Amino acid sequence: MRYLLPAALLLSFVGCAESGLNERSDEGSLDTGFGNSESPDDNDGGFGQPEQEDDFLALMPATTDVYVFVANPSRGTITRVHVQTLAVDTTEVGAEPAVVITTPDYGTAVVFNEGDDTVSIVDAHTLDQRVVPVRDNFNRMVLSPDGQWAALWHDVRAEDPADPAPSGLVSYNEVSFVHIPTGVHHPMAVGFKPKEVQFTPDGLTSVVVSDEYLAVIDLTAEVLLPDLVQVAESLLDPPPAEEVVVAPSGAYAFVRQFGADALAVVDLTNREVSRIPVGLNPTDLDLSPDGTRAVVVSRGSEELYVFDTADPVNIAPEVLALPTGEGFGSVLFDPVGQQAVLYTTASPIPRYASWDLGSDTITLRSLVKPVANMAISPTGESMLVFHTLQDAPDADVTSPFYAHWALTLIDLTDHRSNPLRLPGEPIGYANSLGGERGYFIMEGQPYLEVLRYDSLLYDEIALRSAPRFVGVLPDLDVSDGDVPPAWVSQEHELGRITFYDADDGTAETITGFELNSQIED
Amino acid sequence: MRTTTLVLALVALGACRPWSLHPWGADFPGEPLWNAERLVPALDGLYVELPHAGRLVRVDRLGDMRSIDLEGRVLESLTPTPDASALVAFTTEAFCPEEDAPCEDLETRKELALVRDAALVNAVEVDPHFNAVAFSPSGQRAIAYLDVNAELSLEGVINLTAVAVLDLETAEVEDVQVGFAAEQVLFTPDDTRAVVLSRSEVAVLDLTTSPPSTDVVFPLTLDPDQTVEPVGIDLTPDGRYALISVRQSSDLYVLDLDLHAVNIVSLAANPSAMVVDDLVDRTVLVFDSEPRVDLLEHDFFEVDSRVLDEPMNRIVHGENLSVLYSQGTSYKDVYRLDIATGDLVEYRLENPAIELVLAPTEDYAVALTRAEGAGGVGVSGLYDSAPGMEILDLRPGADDTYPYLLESTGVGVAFASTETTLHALVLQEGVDYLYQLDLYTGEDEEIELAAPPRSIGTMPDGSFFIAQEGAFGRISFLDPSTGDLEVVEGFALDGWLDPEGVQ
Repeated sequence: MRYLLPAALLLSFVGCAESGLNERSDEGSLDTGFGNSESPDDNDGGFGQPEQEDDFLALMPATTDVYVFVANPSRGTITRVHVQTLAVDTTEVGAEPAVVITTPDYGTAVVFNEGDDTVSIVDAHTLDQRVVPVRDNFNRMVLSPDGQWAALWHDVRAEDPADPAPSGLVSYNEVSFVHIPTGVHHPMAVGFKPKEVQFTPDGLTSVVVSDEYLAVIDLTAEVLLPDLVQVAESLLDPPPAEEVVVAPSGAYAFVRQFGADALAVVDLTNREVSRIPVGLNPTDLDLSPDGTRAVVVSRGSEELYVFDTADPVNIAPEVLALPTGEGFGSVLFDPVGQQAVLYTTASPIPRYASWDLGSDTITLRSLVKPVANMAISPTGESMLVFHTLQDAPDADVTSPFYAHWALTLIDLTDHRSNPLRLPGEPIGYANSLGGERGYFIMEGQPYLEVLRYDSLLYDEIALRSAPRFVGVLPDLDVSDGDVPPAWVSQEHELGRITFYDADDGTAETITGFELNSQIED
Repeated sequence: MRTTTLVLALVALGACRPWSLHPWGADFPGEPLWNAERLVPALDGLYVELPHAGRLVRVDRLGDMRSIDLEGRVLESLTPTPDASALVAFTTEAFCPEEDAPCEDLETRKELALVRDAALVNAVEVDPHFNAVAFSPSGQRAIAYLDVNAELSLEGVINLTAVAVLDLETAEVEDVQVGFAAEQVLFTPDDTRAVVLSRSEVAVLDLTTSPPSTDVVFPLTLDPDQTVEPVGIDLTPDGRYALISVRQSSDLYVLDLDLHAVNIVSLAANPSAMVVDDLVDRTVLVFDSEPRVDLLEHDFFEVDSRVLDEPMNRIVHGENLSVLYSQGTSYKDVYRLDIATGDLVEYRLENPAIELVLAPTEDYAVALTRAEGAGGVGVSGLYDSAPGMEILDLRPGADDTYPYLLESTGVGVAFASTETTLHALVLQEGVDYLYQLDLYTGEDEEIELAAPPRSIGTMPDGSFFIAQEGAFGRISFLDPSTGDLEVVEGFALDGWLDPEGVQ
């Protein structure tokens, strides 16, 4: 799983779990591949469609060293699975729990209950909980790296058309911060349409990027207040900010704006904003795995801008030319920092480029179909390419992949590949922590697909019903040589989850665990 | 043949009474004198219900007849303890509510009476609607409950949410609240817990506490509008998991009694029979509507399915194998199932089975079949038109059946075996003899009876008892090793002529 797991659409993915993932993908990128709802204000000013680089297929694991937590939105419960015994407990939380995240100390599961606008702070061991009301109509939640804070907001990009329209007053400027140890709630108004919340690595500061502003919040204050930093040059019809990353030092925040020609670098100490030219139409902004570089992909000028995160203002960025005519707008680093891949989800281009980070060599490579999403295994040795259903304009109609969903397994050491035609739309994937195997599931297909990265071959494990989410249990003992099981939740009115142990090829299915919440001890 | 007759002359006496003495006594007003189809074998003899007198009598092959003094109680039903050392009887008793006042309106109370060695040991009062009892494996405890599928006699206000837990040694009884309409009970092998099925719930009782208490209640649904009716229950050999099938559902609930968790195994259809094999630690399931047998392992509760040619709805289980057949249908297939390997051997009967009995040696089974009436010709037509008996050779490598035509419909089969013989004793409806067949040698014999048999069973010592038509009671005891047949008669007169019984 990627380090920089962009939680944006991921959380909305979880949030609409019970309403069906098809609805979401109908408005997302997978079925059409292009022209999704991420376009800000549906007015791109001639910059084309934004890239869909989010890791929308992966489910954020809510795991501790002992337990895995799964939200059950339709029942108002969360399910806790003991990793070793696979004992299952279910407990009631608020209405429509959309996402559950565990704190780094494994002691707490934080649940965002979208239905009643509350956060449940659940003791991971006893399942005792504290319920904290937050502001209305949020659809996103993230935790600070140290697990001390939860931030919640409404992201217009994560709206689900199936959700009922909010009633009464509706704000598009609010954010709630919840102090996890005490349950104290700090609501505040920031800029219009907050897009993303990030934290400095030390957990002392948070930044919220909205259309025109970056809100900087001192998390050590008794009462949290936003310090608004204007990132738009003009407040009259500014290019809306889309993305923010924070340097590992915590000294700078990098803000990418849609359709702009400069990167806004905010000095978090003195709040000064530097606007550094980055070519035309920057469509992606990522940190390298070691955090030393921030990379901007400028699709319009077909360039890469590589910033030194230690001093991005005074050290000029390195500029690399991208292959021309390919429209690459997204970058994806491997987790070990040896290479990255460049691709686009904004146009039906059946190609990608590999970028050798040591030599800065960029090599163009072909695919069987255009790209919907990419993922690199934790070891950086293998890559999954999820393809769009839509074919390239000049696609061969006799191709076995024509008009079909497809996935390509790629060995990143030699770029040999194994493209697979799929019977359904991929809706989730996960990688084993050791990078030996990948897992993915498809809409309406009762199978767990197991990908063996060493051979690029696959196995198919039959499930008892259609899958919903897939993940991998934590590795409790990395020295024992055992691969932790994968889990896949499935459709069942009382809950169903299967654990697949790749070591011996066995699958154990537990059904009906929702009943556990009503057991009278 | 030795015949023990209490008072043969009473037959003539009976003939003078104002009602006729039908050979079977069906014309007696009210209840029959004795119940020939609910005999209860115990270590100390064969117990016989006398419904007309509301009494109980014990007989044995030596002709000893001993009336059990129930001290004014009227017997309703009788159940042996698991080790056959005693019996528990539901009784009713009329009493005066006020001891010192004139008794104008008698009231009745229901009791569970413990009978041992032909004597009433003690009795405890229970709720009047209880009509069934389940015993713990050790026989120390029992739970009384209402079985709605049994005979009901409901009066007054009834609490359908409780069962009565009895300590058979101390005669203590405690009501324990369970779910609504509790109707099945199963004990864990270690006697410490009891699983009680009720509507949409399963309660587990802790029997180690005093008084017994409810340990945990498992819901079977979260929808209050939905009723889930459990119909079958079994426990895994370690006693940790309760396997519960429910009516009109393909769901098999697996309740973890230790961790208090629910798992649901989705089967192909609603199972019609389920058996847990302790040795292999797997459960066998068959289905009315699906031609398949499922083997459920108890670690991951994964199902290993085997396809059959026809659906099966009965499982006869032995120590080393199971035999699958279909009862009450037109299907004729029978399967021998090796539970460990899942290997199946198919047998084909000439006619549909009405019952299949496994020999204690497990190398043969006997299937009683019904006339099919299919109108075939030749040998097939002969078999189609007559009831039959078919011997199934279950030995490894064998798949043969040996069909026999019966004179009448078979109503019971019993076995007796030695090192060199395996006798099957077959009872036919309305026929005055027993058919005895040595399955090893094929030697057969007709054992003449004085009257048509009604039921057959095996005593704990391996001998057979055969209840026969006879107004005043007639039971034959057969020693299969010697062929000796002893007849005991007249015991049903107990309480009819002599209120003190036959002492």
